[in-house]
Amino acid sequence: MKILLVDDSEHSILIVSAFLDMMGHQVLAVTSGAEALRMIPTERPDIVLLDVVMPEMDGFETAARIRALNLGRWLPLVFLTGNTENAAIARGIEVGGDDYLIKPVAFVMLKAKLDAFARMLQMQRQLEQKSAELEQYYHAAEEEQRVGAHLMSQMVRADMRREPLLAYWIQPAHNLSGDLVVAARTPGGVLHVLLADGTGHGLAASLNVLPIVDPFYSMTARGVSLGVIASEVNGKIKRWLPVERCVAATLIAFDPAAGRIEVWSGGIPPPFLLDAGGRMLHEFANPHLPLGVLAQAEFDARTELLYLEQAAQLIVCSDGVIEAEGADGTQFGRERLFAALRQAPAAGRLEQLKGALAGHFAGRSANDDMAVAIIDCAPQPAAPQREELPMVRVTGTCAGGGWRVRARMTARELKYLDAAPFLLELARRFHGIEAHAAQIHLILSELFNNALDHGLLDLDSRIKQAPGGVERFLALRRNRLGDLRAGSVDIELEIIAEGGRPMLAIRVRDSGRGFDYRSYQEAGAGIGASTVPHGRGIALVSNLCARLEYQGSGNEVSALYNLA
Amino acid sequence: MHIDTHIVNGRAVLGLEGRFDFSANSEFRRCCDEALQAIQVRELEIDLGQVLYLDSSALGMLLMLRERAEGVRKHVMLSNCRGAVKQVLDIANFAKLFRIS
Repeated sequence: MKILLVDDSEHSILIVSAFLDMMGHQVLAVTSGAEALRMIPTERPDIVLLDVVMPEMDGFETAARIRALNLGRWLPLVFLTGNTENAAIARGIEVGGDDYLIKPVAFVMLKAKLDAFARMLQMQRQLEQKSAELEQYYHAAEEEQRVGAHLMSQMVRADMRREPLLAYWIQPAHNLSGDLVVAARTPGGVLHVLLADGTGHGLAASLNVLPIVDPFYSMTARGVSLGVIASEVNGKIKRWLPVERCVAATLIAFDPAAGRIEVWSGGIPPPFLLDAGGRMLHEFANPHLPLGVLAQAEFDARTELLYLEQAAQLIVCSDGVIEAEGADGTQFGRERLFAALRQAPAAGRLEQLKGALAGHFAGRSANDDMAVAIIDCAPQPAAPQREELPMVRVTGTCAGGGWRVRARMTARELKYLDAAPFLLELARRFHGIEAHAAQIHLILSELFNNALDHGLLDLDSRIKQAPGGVERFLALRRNRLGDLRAGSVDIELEIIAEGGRPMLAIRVRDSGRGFDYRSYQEAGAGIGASTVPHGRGIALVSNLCARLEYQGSGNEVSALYNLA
Repeated sequence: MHIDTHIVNGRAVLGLEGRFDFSANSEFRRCCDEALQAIQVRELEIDLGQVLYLDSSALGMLLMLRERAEGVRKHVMLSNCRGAVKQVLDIANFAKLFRIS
């Protein structure tokens, strides 16, 4: 240690210095308090030994002034005094001294005390170091959070803020929220809203929910249905995040044209519908596990549907709202939530709720992230000419890993629905399909178009061969499709195992008379055969598939495609 | 959070007491690991009767436990779920994953 010795007696200095030297310490000696005060800031000794009785400035005053220097670190001060009276010693400690030694200084005492101070200084230094490290870490963490918050706000797009039917509020517990609200419209005008709550809060939680945002937007933009979005997102979360991280979520689809609300909810307090007066119209169920818990094969994508009869508001909050701990130690709770919402007209409910929560917290900080989404739902008056177009009826079952999906399109659907992309979207639900998406799209298109064109519309492909024939064919197709009154096309997709390999079985059946497939198959045995355009399509499909069979009168076809 | 473990008839009963949140992570893992590795233990019962508060990280810890228990073919059940604890487990629909009493 570097020791500063302050003593007006040269004799004392000599003796004590000798002792300190023997102990291996570095000694600096001055003869007055004034000199000591000058030297301390520049020399920075580890410890100061102060003689008490000195002219001009005594040891006590020197100690007081050293303390007043405000060095920022602990500098032990040890008095050297001949006065053994307790009062004097106590006063010394009061003015800022740490310890004392009785003169004449005994070597053993000096050594013992200095060793003790050395230990304390060592501890002090370690503490300072840890403190500095902590501060650095803290700053780095704050910076990470700032970047994360920026990323989150960028990903939540501006068009959501302009959505007239949606009011929302996100309040992070600290800097970054693990609760998320995103919304977008499908091409058909259906409003999709997602409220998600990641495990925990802060940066880790918001990282949990980030993977949801992009798939939500891209699938909504493609008009994908709610259950499929939920399933896709579940797969991503399950795949990417560790097992203990899951995301509670509520997905909502509101179709203003149909006055229909669809809800998928897992792990979020169930959303509810209030009427104009704030009374409860309907409380949705929350039957599912949070996203990312179940494997894809076990995932349940079933949604709850509700048709509106009057204008209403759909409200969903994360559990941080309901479990908010107030200044009085109680949770906010559902009763207070409903009461707050009831008090204001529909337009002011969000503000009313925010006010009620602020009152509940009364200055205390929130313990969890909070998110609220309020959707104004009103069935639009039915346009007089346009009739209600029914959805394509699709039944799906999931049995221990193999899906079978069956879709029936009747004349009405066939007029407007382009089946191939729609069916490919269905097929993509299966594992192992994505790698073959292009081929499967081709197969589905071919088989479906054959069923429609030749089975139901009775079109002859040979029309296309003549000059200008393609345009005539298409015009004829358009007319006949417009006139179509009856008929249906059934399509079935199923994953089966054959010879230990996964295969996609596709069956298409139309209600038409069929065609003479045998002659087409013989004539179109090779793709190169240019005389039979119809056969080319079938030949291509036949080449892609492991098996292709026409049955019945040609109005039924089965294809088997190898997914391995 | 304080955890009390005792084993009776091949069942390890872990009594949790206090706030079951992120701070309980290492203690919970340690106790569960010990119970799962003990040969005479065939099933684990997590007694939540003395738990005041359960949050989403606790749900995560339970999911983790379930996965590890499955790995060594042992069952996990949750008991004495009441009040706020039961509420959280209900909302998360954990009855689909665990036997809850």
